[in-house]
Amino acid sequence: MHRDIVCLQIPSFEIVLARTHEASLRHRPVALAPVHTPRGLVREVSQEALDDGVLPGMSVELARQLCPGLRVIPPDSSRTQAAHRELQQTIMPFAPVWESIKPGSLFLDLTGTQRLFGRPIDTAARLERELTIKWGWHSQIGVAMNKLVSHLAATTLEKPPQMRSIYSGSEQAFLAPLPATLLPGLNRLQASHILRRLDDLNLRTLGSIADVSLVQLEAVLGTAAVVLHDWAMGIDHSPVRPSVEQPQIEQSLTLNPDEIDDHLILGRLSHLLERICARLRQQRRMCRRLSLALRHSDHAERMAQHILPYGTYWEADLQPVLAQLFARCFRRRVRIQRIIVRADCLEPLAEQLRLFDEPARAVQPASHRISLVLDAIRAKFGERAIAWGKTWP
Amino acid sequence: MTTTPFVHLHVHSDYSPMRGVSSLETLCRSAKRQGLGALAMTDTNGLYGAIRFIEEARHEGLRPILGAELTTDTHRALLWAKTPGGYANLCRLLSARHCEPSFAFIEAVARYRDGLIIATDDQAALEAWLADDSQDLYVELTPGPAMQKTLEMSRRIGVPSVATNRVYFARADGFATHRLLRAIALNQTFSRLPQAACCNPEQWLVPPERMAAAFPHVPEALANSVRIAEACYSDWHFGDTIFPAFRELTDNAAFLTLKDDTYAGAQERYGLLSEEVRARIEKELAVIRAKRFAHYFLIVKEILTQEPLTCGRGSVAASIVSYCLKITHVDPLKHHLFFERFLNPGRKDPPDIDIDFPWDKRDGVLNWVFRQYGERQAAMVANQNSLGFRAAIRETAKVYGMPADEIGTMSARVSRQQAILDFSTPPTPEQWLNRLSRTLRLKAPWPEILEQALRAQNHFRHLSMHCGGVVIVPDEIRRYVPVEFTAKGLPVIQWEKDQAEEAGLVKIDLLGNRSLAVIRDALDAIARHTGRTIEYASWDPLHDHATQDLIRRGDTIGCFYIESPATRLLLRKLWSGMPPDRLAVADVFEYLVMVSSLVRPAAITFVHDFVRRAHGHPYEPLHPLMDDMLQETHGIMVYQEDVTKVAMALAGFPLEDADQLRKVISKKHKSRQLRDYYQQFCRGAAKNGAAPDTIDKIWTMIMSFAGYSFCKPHSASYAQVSFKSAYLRAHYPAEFIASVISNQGGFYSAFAYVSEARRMGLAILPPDVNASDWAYRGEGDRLRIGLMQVKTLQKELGERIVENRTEAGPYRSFEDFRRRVNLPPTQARALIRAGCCASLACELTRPALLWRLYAEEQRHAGPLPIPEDYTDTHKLTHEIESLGFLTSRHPLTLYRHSIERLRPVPAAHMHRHVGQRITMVGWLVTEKSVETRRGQAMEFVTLEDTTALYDATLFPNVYRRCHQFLAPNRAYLVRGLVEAVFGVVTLTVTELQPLDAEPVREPAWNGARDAWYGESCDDRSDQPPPFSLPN
Repeated sequence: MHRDIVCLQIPSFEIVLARTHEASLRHRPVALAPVHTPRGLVREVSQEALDDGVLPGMSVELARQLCPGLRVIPPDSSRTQAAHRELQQTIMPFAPVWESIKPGSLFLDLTGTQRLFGRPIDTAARLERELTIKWGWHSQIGVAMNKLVSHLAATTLEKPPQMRSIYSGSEQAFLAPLPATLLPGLNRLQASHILRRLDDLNLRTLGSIADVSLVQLEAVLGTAAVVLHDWAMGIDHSPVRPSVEQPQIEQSLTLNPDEIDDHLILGRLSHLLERICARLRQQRRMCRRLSLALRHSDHAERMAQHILPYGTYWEADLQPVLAQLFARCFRRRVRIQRIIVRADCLEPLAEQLRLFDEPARAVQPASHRISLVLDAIRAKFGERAIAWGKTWP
Repeated sequence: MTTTPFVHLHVHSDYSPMRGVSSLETLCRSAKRQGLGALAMTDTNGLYGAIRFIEEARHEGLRPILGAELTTDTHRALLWAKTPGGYANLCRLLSARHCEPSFAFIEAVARYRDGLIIATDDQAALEAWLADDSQDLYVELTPGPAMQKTLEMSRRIGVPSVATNRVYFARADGFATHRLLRAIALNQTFSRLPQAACCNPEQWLVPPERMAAAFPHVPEALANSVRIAEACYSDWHFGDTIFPAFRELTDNAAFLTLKDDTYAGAQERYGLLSEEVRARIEKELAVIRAKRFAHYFLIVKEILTQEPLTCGRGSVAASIVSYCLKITHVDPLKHHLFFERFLNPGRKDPPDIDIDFPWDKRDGVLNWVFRQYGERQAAMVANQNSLGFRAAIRETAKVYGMPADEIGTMSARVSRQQAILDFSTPPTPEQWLNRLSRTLRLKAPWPEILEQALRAQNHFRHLSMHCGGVVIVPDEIRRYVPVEFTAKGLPVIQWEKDQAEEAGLVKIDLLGNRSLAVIRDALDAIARHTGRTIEYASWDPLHDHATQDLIRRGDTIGCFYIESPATRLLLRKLWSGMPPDRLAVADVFEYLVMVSSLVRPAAITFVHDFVRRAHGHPYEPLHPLMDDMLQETHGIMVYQEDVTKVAMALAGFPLEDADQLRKVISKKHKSRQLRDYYQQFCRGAAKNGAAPDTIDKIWTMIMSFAGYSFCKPHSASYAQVSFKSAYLRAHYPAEFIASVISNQGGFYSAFAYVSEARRMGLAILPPDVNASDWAYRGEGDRLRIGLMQVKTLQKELGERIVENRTEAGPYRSFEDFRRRVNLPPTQARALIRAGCCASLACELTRPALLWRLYAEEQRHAGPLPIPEDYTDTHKLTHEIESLGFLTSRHPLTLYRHSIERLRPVPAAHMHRHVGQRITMVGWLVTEKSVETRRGQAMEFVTLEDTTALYDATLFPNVYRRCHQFLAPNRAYLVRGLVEAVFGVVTLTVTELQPLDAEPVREPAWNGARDAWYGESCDDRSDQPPPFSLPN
């Protein structure tokens, strides 16, 4: 079956976002890397840094040696996730199905949209223009019959904004000179032994892999040979899998100054939890999962979550869970900069209605009644009208 | 004097690891100020500072009471030494606490309680000990919530109580530091620090009146503290030397044995004994007998039987007895070494004997010592590691939750600023901190962190093992000092070398030395290859002309102790400009001894004066009285004994004081004594007519011996080993350089030594399973790289490959190799990629060999392809990955294209461009960062191109700009000014950048250029060195 798969990549997405927020980062070499460890590796680089020889995967120390003017910025996952959501919103009118590869990168399945939107390459061009005009994001786009070839088509483009379309039947000619290291997944730790072996056997290009018979390839690579051989031939049947978004309620707080004191941070967390519970009660929803994310002063992030045995919206139920999550997350002796509490796996309030008139219901627990009273006070007099001592700044 | 009857009997100093806050000096001073007559020191599970405490207490006029708080997870008790026997029991008890995994607290204390007074609030322990004997048993009462309950228990069981305050700090404000230390020790933040982990804020050295106010209802508890203090022993005398006993001989028998052995050795060394030799032996033996040192010599001699190749160093090399016993190998008569530096009738402290062994034999010798004397008699000396200032900043900042990169940056900034905050008088910590906060514009919480760090610094943290010091006693080591076990399982005493020495324990240093192994291996190889056997002990290469020339040229890479750039430069400066008349009479060995002593950081300012004077420039001695004694070293104080001599001659010091001055110069805890000596020196020198500024200059020279410095016998011993290394380098370069690399030591990397070998004219052969040994092998003009150079190859497998080849002949094919050696695939891969199987491959390429290796792993039997061989670049990459550096060619040849366009000056031609600005290329060989007097960082680097090594200096302004580029294994483009000092050229760098990043420019900027680089990067230069020596 003929398919039209588009791979859209915004290179160095996090750096692009950082530059939007901080003008001083523009037109200078920038690298994205964790800054909390001296042994951090570069994740993304700007074009200026690339020109100085800095590459992703390189140690920060070496990168600084190669490029003395390099600005190293830490990853910011919440900002990136938010931007990626914006990106998905933008592509929604163009593609019926899409799949996220990583923040700033997507596969779009435009199969069957030609009569509606025009040729896929034109649709991709319109999308590229839209992203540039709306957000200032320059993208690299590859169009091909399958995910692998479109991905490689986009990856091998030199500089955004650019597009490359690989016509059906010309995949092998396109792939043959490409280095095997470009194959997706081979750079991951689990697959590094395959890459090492290909290097040992002097199979350095996809063409050289395709030239070897499958039997001989299996003799040295085992079961991985089949997939690898298919890829080298440009064969990839994997579908574009749409992701499913779940509703959630999130509250976050940036601490200023950064804090190390357990009691103080727990107080702030309680405050965020109160807000989440109030929202849940207001929406008549209960949550089955509570997550906590902490961002340290050195920008390292820790996340932990807990699945509850039953849905709840009461602080009294969630407070001990939050304390446990805090103990699990906060194990480093480094100050906390930002705290994020998230309630998800939401479900509607399952309240059994009464069939008959019954005598007065059993009295609610005190903690529940306090929560309800606090909700009422805040609804009437404002958020800051009343607070627990431990949550007071 | 206070009228309140109370003595603080439970006091922790900063020798209680990461608990006690105040120093012994502060505690003793505070106690004295409160009018106390006695003070007990009861550090946690140790007597780590016992000798220092006695010294401090006596200085303040206090009676020192020795004790300890013995604790386990479940029990605790205070123990004070009532008698010297009680002290021995206390040491045994503390040793058992540290050494016995199944330490039973109650039983152990019951067993060793003789001579001890015990106090505790631990009811179970009290009842158990009470059942044995109620004598010297007390209940410890400390103000606090538990006191009433403890008092009731005391009354119930009928044991008297004693009042203590469980002191952890001298003043009330020490509590914050105590909490900080506890948080550091437990890796916690303040908010997570358990309350039980800390003491309470009231546990400071409160005045007796305040203690009395806390015990209105139990006055007898206060009175008991005085009673215990009076009962405890305090007349400590640790000065007597504790000699080890040789085979349980009496002193006389040991002396007679030593005398016989000495004369037998003298016959061997000198042949016919001259009157001078006999007189010197008799003189030394008389002192040795009087000092009862015969056992010590015999024990050291016996240890030496374990290894034939050794080097006795330190002051012991001044002794003819040790020369005859072959403890040392330098003739003290020939080289004018004075025995008094080692041992003299007036010397009170025991001198130690330091012996170097080949590095791979040292542990075996140490094990033999412990087998011979057992853990009962022998133990290692400790290092007491404390929290340095940078460590204190780092650890304190962690407690405050600061991120690592911020800690690193701040710690570096503070350390850098520390020296250059300009204070006219020494500042108080507060003043220093205020100035620093302003200068660095510190933001919260950094001022608070630094304030806390200042208080936490210098606190004792943990013990580690001294690199080689062993103490041996005649009976039981645990009588004298508590013993612990190191991570390696060796017993280690709780004192560092200074306290051990002051306690009379005699230390023998057994140290590892790589160069001795280099010489051993080279001598073995020479015997194998040429049949010539050189006997190490009697080998005297001092008059060999080729060796002397090599040393004069500073051509000493690989030679023991004289291979660093600083030493090589000094040797070249010294000899290249020396006038012929002086050169004709100058003794190379004697000058080498001086050079070995001169190359030390504090003496660097005198080096150029020394060279100038050695070249015959006239000079005025600092004082006429110093002229004669320093004539040999041209008026510069070079050896430690020069301090003694100058103090005696110029300032009228008696021998004992002058010798003490030499010792205390480098001891931090002796600053008080050093101050006194300074006054005494000024007075004495002024009496002899020295002007104040002359006295200052001489004192500055004396203080240059702080840190590390050597005595002449030590330098002579080392210079002899240097000479032997140089002889091997001059006559057997292949064997020598192979041994240097194989022993993996030295100042330079393996790459630098291989490069040097290439410059020495040796052909570098790649590693090969059919030709290489495990180690490097040098023979004739070839150096074969050993299999040891292949990364990830296991030693056992490498040795098996060589062994199998030796027994059954060369490997015929790759299959034959795999079958015979039973090679694991990962190891086979390492060998193939390193090119070690090239001689086995026949028509197969390296990828084809690997294809067959992996196919066999998957049990595949069909036909397999023969893929193309790797490209040349690919092979070079594998070479670097597998061997760590390029062995087939110099790495600069990879930059040929850039080099041809840049046309840099070759290092061998550098001397032609003195005073000019030139461009050079170089591969970084070694770097040494230093700080200027103003605390600015700068660096000396040594680079090499394919023609020679050259030295360059990056002064602070250039270093600031370029330091981020500096990294090993990189090629650089260097621009700078060629400067010549005493005929030796160096480059003062003005610009440095990685070679690959250099944009190509037209070569118009550099004028005269009569040679250009790169016509053949592998060719050696035929240019003579920039200086010449007479033949």
